[in-house]
Amino acid sequence: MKDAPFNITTVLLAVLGVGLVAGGIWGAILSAIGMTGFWGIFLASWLPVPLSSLIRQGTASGAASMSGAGGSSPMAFSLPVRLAIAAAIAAGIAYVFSLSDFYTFGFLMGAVASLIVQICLIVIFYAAVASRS
Amino acid sequence: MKRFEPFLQLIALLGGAVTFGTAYYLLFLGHPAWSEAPFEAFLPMFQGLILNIGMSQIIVSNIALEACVILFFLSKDWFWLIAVALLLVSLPVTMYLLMPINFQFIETTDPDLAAKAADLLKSWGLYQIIRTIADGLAFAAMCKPVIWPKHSA
Repeated sequence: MKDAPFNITTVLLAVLGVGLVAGGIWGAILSAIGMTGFWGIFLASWLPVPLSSLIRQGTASGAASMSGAGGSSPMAFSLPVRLAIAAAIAAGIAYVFSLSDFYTFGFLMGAVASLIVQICLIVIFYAAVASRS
Repeated sequence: MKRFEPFLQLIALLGGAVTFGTAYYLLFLGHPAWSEAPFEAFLPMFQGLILNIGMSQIIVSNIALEACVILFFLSKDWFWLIAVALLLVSLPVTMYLLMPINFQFIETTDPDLAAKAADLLKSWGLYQIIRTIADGLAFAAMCKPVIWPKHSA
């Protein structure tokens, strides 16, 4: 399944696109309730991770089965471990973002922070899946 | 036009992330699987993946490229131009180094292709490393002006 000839670009567009929009929405919500600064950015970039994970499994499995490959999408780690890694990365990103004073926290900052966390997770998870083959 | 800058930044970052993610996937998951598989099994895997990815990858990276060019003119931040230069590194690497190998595996007109496959794949992997590093650095270059814009430094 992991080497199935599906269109990875489409899968990544779906996963990263959903992460981007979800991060933006969380950014707007958290900003509206007054949670700005480190904790706002941290939550906006971390909370979309389970949703993106779900989208990745769904789109990757769907695209692979359309290409004629069976089986489930390979997981680098269990969900709690994935969330813990995501939390550590989100904390780092939130710290870096909180050093910048250009943007007020809202949709844009939430979206960008979430996207950067997602791409960091992709780098770690693909390397982990590849090392276990 | 300046008010579209955040929207363009999101498009550039999404395009850059997808371009890098695809290159990284091919290097870390695609290439090792192809290298381990016997020639008869590898060929349909390779053809399927490359033919599937090709056009969408060109569209996504071009959108990112154009967004970065516009953002450079809007913000005058050199990091957008660095991102453009790094994304453009992929162009000659893909056209002159990767695509000739891709076409050999897709057209399969060479009768000695099976014997040459291992060497061709090794070269393909080396060229893909260059492309992945360039795309990764391009994404990092895009992040810099978003997190720390020029005029806030």
